[in-house]
Amino acid sequence: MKNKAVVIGGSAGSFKIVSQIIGSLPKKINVPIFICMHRLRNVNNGFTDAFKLKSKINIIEPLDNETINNNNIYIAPANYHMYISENGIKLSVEEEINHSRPSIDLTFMSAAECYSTELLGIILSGANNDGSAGISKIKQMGGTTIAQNPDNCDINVMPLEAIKTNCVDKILTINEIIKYLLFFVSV
Amino acid sequence: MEVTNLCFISKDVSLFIKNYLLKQQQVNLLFFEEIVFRKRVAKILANNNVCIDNEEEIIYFLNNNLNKFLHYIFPEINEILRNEFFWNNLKTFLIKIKQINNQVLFYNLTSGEELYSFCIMLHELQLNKNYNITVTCPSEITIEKIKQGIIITTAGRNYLLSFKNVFNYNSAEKYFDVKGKNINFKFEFLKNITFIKCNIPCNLNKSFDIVFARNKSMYFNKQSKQILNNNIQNLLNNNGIYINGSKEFVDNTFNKVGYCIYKKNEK
Repeated sequence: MKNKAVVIGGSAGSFKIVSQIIGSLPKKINVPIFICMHRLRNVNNGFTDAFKLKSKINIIEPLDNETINNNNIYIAPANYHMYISENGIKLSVEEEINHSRPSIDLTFMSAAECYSTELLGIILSGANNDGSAGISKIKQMGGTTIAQNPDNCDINVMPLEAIKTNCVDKILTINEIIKYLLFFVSV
Repeated sequence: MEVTNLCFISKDVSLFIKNYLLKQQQVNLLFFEEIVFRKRVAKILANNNVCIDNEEEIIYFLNNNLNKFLHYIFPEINEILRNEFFWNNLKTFLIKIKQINNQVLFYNLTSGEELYSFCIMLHELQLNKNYNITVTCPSEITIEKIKQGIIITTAGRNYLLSFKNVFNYNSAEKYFDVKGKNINFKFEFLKNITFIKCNIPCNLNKSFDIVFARNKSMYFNKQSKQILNNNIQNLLNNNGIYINGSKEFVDNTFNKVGYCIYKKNEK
């Protein structure tokens, strides 16, 4: 698969940032965006709906085997891992990774295999090291990686852990991330 | 090659393993969704110090640990009362069923938590005498673990809260033995359950009123989902109930009658 795609991972302190990112996107973006965020495992309602209110783009909490289409934003469902594959989105109830399900690492790594050089990975505010292995994999496959500037994070552990891998291409503030993302999805 | 729990075996090795198991061990895993299979095999091999790209080492491991491999290859539902919303809905549904001597099948169970949750519910609703339970599992190791009431400790951490949210009060302790970090489901609540070792699709000379198969079809590739669907159809009585996961696709041979609860269409 060689089309472009974006993966975004976040945990504590990232909800409002993701809302801001989603709200800034135009009606048509021509790439799929996959968002994997740590969330309450037993709360199924409200989370995705809150993003829908902000978005001009179709937001989907995928069923297993969901087909991937450009111009859609896919949010990892609560308590499921979300794999990105050539055949669509695959969900799984495997054990937690880094105490997390969904695991940002799993989503990032599977997306990296799928989209290789055409993938943009963004890691946002959060309180553990989930996502850092995924960032490494994206870089290893030739993709582009961004970490939110730790000085601008509510909780900076997750971006700091990603930066420690030496696989982060750009460390950006939230406004810079939005600017870069708009450039990426428009080219 | 560095091997971690987050590795994937290559597509070539994946195909090699599936073909080897089919031809040499008569175990068909060709249906298994590719990317999840690659991740799970990498984890099993890594945990057993087997190099994930050395076919000779892999064959040696498979020949000597097939049961173990089949136990771990299927992801486990490892929480008591996973998805409280579902269990609350099932509670309402079970109260409405007047029929006695209901035959229930837990399809391809890979860990005990789902079965234990159902047993708790039947006891809480005082319906346990109305239900006969059959369980199919892919390996003998799985059956033994379930019979022993073993709960994965990290996954068991929320069970008291989940119990409270489903049954509105705190008395879950009577169902569990807690020894340090280990939690076991008590044997006395697992009586009169029939266990059958059986791979997918399973052929049983019996039909059922309810088949539990939550989050099972998601490990099937697109072509094989229909095989599982037909298998469950054949295992159900007319108007039988199929219970699946909230994120799984169900075809039009079933009618939705509740959250994750489907009724088989009469032929």
